[in-house]
Amino acid sequence: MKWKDARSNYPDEWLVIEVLESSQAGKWFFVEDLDVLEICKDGRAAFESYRRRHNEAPQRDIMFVHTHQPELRLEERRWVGIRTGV
Amino acid sequence: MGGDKDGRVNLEQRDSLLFVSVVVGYEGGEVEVPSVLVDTGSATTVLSIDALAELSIQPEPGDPIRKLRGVGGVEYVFTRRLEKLSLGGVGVGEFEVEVGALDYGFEMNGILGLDFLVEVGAIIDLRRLVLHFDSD
Repeated sequence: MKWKDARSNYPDEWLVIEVLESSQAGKWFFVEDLDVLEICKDGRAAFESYRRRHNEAPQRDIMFVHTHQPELRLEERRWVGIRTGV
Repeated sequence: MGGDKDGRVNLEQRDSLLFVSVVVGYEGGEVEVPSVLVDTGSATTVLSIDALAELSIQPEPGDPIRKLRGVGGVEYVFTRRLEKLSLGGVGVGEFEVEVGALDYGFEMNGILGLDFLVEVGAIIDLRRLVLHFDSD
């Protein structure tokens, strides 16, 4: 599904989606194709659902989003992690 | 507001890393968040959504969402402008942080990144294990 279709099918809703296809331009990440996994009652519910699904299947690109956003464009940052000692 | 108002806090050492407690102010409420990693290797500051639960911070429709891509896969956070972020009784108002799950398998409620440390002009004294900065 394209983001514009998700917006027209689920206006003013919090969604948990899986990113199926994306593109990149500089620091920006664009979602080109997606699956809607869940419609949530508020931002907290969407975040918690994202969190649970992400922890269960970290290899899948799952995110929370509100259909208020006209364009699904996110800033992307690199995260190389923390090294702990003992 | 906890702590002496001299902009000085002890650095706690755990897992060979350095942690501090910060105070977050948002919509009239305040909460102390312990176990925040001091990390000059992080460009931004992130706080755990669980640690901010008392302040009812949750994603709002207009919040920018950021994608973090790393060795362990990807993760999404939302950004929020706090009314206050302080340590040792001194800090900054109106500071933007990332809010995320931080499910990394060890106790950590946030990362105090270089954006905040530069903004307050933090001096990290590793001999005395204190972090201090001028309040003016």
